[in-house]
Amino acid sequence: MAGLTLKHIVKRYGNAEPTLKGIDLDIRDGEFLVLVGPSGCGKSTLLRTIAGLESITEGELYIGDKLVNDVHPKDRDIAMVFQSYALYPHMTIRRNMAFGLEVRKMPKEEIDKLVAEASSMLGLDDFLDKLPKQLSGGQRQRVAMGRAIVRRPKVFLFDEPLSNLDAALRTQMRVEIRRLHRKLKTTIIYVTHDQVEAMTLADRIAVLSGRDKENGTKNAGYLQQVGTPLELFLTPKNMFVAGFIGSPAMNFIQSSIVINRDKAQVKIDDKNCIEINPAIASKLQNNQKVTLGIRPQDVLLAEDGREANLTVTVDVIETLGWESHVHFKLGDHPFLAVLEAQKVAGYKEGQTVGLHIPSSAIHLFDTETGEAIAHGSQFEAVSEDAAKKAGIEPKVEEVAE
Amino acid sequence: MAKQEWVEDSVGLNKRDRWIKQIVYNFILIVVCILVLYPVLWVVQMALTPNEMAGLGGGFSFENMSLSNFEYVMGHTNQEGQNLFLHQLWNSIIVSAITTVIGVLLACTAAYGFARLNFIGRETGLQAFLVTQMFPGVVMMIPLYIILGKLGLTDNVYGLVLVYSVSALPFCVWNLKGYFDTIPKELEEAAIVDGASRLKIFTTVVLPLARPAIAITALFSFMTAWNEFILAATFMNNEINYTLPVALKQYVGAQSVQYGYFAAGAILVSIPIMALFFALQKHLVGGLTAGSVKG
Repeated sequence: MAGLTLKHIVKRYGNAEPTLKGIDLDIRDGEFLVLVGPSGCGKSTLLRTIAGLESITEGELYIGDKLVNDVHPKDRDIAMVFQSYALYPHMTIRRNMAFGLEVRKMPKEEIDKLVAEASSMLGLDDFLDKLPKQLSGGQRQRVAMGRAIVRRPKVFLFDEPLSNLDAALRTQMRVEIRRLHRKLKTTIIYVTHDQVEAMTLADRIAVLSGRDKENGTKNAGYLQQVGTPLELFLTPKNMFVAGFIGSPAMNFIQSSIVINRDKAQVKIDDKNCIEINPAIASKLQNNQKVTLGIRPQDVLLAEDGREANLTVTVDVIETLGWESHVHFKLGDHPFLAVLEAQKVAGYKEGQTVGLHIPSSAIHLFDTETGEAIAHGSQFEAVSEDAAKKAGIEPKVEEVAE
Repeated sequence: MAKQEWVEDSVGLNKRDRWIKQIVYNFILIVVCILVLYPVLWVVQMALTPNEMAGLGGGFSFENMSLSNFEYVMGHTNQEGQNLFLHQLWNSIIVSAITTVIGVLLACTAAYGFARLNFIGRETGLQAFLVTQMFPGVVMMIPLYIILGKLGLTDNVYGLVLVYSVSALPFCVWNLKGYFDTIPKELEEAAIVDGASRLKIFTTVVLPLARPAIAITALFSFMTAWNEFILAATFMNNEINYTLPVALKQYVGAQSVQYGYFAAGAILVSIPIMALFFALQKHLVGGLTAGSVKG
C-alpha cells in the first residue's frame, strides 16, 4: 500500500491546449479518492497518467516515495479497472484473473490460491471456467475487479467502472466496491462523472473543471477543490464546485448586497431580500454585486411562523414520492426547491408561494471570478437535515463482518 | 377492411407476392450456380474422358469413363526416370508453405506495428505498400530476374519463395492491419497494466483474437503462391524444378493440346487448395472479441 503525490502534473497532446493544467494532489495511503468532473475535464487522462498509460508532459508523480514519471506501468504496482471491463475474450474467467500473476511468473499453487480467494470474495466461483461473453454485465465488472484484486497492488485505479451498468446494479456494485475497500484497505483512485457515486464512495473528492460554452477548454483541466464529500457540499470553493456537487444542482441568482446600520441583506429585487448574518457582512461592501447560491434542499415553506423572504410562483411540480421537486419562478428566473410532497400537493401552476431561506443556507459568490465569498453555514450551526435531504446517501455501515 | 389493408402493408407483401419473390430469387441463384459450376463440370468430364477422345467438342460418355489421364499425369517421368509429378507437387508445397509462413509472420508483425505504434513514416509506409499493388507482376519480371540471377537463385524454389513472400506482403499487411484496428485498445492496456511485455501481449492477446484475419491472410498467401504461373515459368528452367501450374502448361503445346491430361492435372492441382480451405474454414468466424468490452 502507498499514498500518491502529484506535483504540478501537466499533460499536453502535441501543441494543443493542455488537457491537465498543473494538478497538485496528495492522496493518502489507504484513502478512497474520487476524481470527479464533467466529461472532457481530463479526469480519465489523469488516471491513465497515474497508471503510466499516458506520459507526463510536466510535473512529478510519486507512488509512495518513488518518483515514477519514467517507470513502466508494469513496475508501478498498480491495478486498473477499465470502464469497458477489457476482459480477454478468449480466456476463461480463471485465466483472465490469473494472467497478471502468470506474466509475473508466480508459482502455480500461489496463483490458484489468490484466484480462489478473489473469486469467492466476489462471488465468481461458479463462473471460473466460463468465457467473458457467457457472463452478464455485472459479473464481467466483478471479474475486472477480481483481476485487479489478485494482484494485491499498492494502488487501485477505477475508470468509471459502473457507467455501463443499469441503475439497480450500479447501486449494488457501489456498495460492493465500498465493502471491498474496507476489506483491502488499499489506496483507491476512482474516476466518475456521477456526483452521487462520488459523494457515496469517497473519503475525499477531487473536482476537476470541464470545458464551458463561453471559454471552451480554457478553464478545463484545473483542480477546483479537494475535500470530504460534506466539505464540498457545504463549503464549495467556487460556483463550479457548488453547481457540480449536490443533486439537484444549486440555484444561482444574481443579487446585490445592502448593508444598513442595523442589518445586512442580499437583495434579489425590491420584493425579495434575505437577511444575512452580520458576521458575513464584514466581508462585503454595500451595493456589491454577488451571485447568491441556494441549495434546493435548504428551501423551507413560509409557515409555522417562518417569515417569507422569497416570493415565487409555481411552474412545474415533479413528485418523487416522499419529496417533490418544485420548479418555481423567481421573477423571470427558474428556482428549484425540494419540498415535502404532501405539503405541496395542492399547489397549482401560477400560484404565488412564500418561501423562507434561512440565513445559514445561503452561499455568496463573487459574480466575476465565481469564487466563494462566504457560506452561511460557516457562521451558524449546520442543519444536518439539509445535508441528508441533499441526496447524500449514507455510506455503507462500517461494521466488522 | 381498411384495417386489414394496413396490416398487409405493414408486413410488406401478402402470401402470393412472397411466393413470387421466392421463385424469382431461386431462379436467379440457380442461373448463377450453373454459370459458376459449368466450367468445373466441364473440366471434370474432360479429365474422365480418355486423352485421345477428349477435346473441346466433348466426347464424354459413361462407357468410356476412365482414370487413365490421372494415371498418366501422376506417373509421368523424365529421362532419368524421376517421377515429375511428385517432384513438382513437392516444389509447389514447399514454395507455398514457406511463402505462407514467412508472409504471415512478417505481415503480422508489420501490421501490428502499423496499427498500434506511432512512428515517422507510418502513413507513407502504408501508402507505399498500396502503390506497389498497382503494378502488374509482369512489370517486375525483368528486375526480379536480374536480382535472382545475382543471388544465384534462378531455377531454384527458394528464389520463388523470396519473390512470392515479398509480393504478397502488402496485401497481407493491409488486411491484418485492418483487423488489428478493430481489436479494442483497452485489452492491450489492461495487459500492459497486468505486467505483460509488448511481445507477450502480441502473442497471447492480439494474435489469438486475430485468428480469422490470420486464416484469411494465410489462405491468400498460399493460394497466390500455389497458383502463380508467369514468374515461375520465367525463373524455372529444369522440368524437375517446376511448380504444378508450370507443369500443367506443358500439356498445352504449340501443335497439340492434351485436354485429358490437362484437365486431370488441373483437378489434382486444385485438391490441396480445397483441402486447405476446409481446414481453415472453422477459423473464419467473426465475433471473437465478443464479451471483451461493452460494445
